[in-house]
Amino acid sequence: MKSITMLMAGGMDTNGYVVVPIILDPHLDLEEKKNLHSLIAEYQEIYRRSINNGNQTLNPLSGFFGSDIRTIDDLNNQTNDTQETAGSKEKFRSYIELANLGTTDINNFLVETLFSTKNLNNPLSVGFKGNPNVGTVVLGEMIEGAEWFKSFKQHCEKDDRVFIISSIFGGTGASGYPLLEKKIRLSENEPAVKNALMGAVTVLPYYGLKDPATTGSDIDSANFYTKTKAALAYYHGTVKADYLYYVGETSLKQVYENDEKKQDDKANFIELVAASALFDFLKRGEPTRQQFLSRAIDDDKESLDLVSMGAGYKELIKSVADFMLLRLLVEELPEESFFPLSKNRGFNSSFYGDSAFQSLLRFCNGYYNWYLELAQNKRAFAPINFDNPKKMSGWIKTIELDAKDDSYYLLEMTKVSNKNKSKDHENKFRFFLQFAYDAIDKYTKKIYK
Amino acid sequence: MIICMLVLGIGVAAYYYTSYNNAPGRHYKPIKWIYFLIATFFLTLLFTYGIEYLVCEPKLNGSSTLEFMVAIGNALYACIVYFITSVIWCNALPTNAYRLFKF
Repeated sequence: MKSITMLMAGGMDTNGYVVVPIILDPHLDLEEKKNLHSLIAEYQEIYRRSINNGNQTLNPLSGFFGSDIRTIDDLNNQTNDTQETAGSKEKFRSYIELANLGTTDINNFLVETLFSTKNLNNPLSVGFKGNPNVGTVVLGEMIEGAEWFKSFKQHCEKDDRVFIISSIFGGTGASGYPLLEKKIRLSENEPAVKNALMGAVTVLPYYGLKDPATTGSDIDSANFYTKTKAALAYYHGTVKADYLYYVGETSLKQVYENDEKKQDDKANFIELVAASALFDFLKRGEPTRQQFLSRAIDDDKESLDLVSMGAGYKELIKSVADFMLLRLLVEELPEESFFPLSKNRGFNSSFYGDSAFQSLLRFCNGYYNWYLELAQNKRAFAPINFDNPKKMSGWIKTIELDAKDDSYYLLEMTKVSNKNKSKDHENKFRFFLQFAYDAIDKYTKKIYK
Repeated sequence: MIICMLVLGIGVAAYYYTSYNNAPGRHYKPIKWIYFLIATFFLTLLFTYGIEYLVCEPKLNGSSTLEFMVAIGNALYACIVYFITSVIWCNALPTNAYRLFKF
């Protein structure tokens, strides 16, 4: 979802669809999850400010922040209780009421066969720790009884689409995806939900974790492939998504710290590819039969650029290159006292100090860190050169842009502004995003040639 | 000389607010406008003195200094024309430059 948000910020098109993310993660204290909620809130604020014109609401922009993200809370004014239900400190043992079974009860033996003592003693608030057998038991009830699921069913309308993103080698995602899909397809009382065009992306193992013996973790990445095979065998013939995307790596290229509490794993190229599946899905029509799709790269390189990734990734790379250019402008312009639009359009110190621009600045900083993580991870997604604003013709590696330095973009912003005689609104922030996108797009669209 | 002063004062300003600021390189910065002001001064000085020399070659003692002083005066007038043109351009005409004198 983080990658989706970043790509949407960079101008990836959702084909007019509003994205309503529902994040299912019972892991209450996960910092990454909190950061994701903050990121989405920041995106929403920027989007809202870009379409706001007093009492009037403007059409979404074409380009940066051009698609709407709304949460279930926004639609419903209710708290998403995913966290509340699943985030209980209750142990799994207590959840299944194991104590009610006698020690010699045959069902007790069955439970002990299916679940380890560790499984049984784990509180539900820490997720399912790579145990889909636990997730399968808990998530079904959790989905059915959750307020967010009721809200989802209430708000899902004809022609809405459902897209499920999950990993197949963990606990929550691996068990949650087929369960969630089943619950949706069995919603007999809500035909719009039951018949919604559904897509899913299943992420195969792409990273490893350090030896659990040294960290005391319950998760062992040595089991990832075994679990994946078992899950794939179950998915075969069970899952009914109209489009099912498989995304994965050739091997576990990166090994992270095995710290369940932090899980501060860096952004990974595979997550970006998985995110791109959503945009592909939103452009497709209803298939005559179930479609299975995957994505490949042209060259098996450790550091990927436009050529090694292949022509199919042009839109994605352009989105990232465009936003990194926007970030550069956002960093530079407050220092440009005599930028022509400071007088013509009011892009002055007051504008740069306003909450909308400050939100954009924070988002850009987050984006920059996200890109750095991608560019330094294994395998590295590093299609742009961003470190020298005075030599920018090679901004997108392997092609030569006509803009040789940052002043080309500043000039183009001024030109676009001078051509724009629109009196539809007086939203300076919208003008800023629009002029910046048009200026950047003029040069980076060369990627499609 | 008046024509020279007007042509250079207006011409340099027009070039600054059109072609020059239609090219990249942060040409909108006020220092660039000052460079063009200085260029106006020296160009007018040079052209005026050249015209004076061609029309009336200084043969008398001290006439050379006098013609140079006239050229300086003309160059200063050209700078005023450059400034007035800039004010008009900043307030009424299209440009990619920073409108330094827009009131």
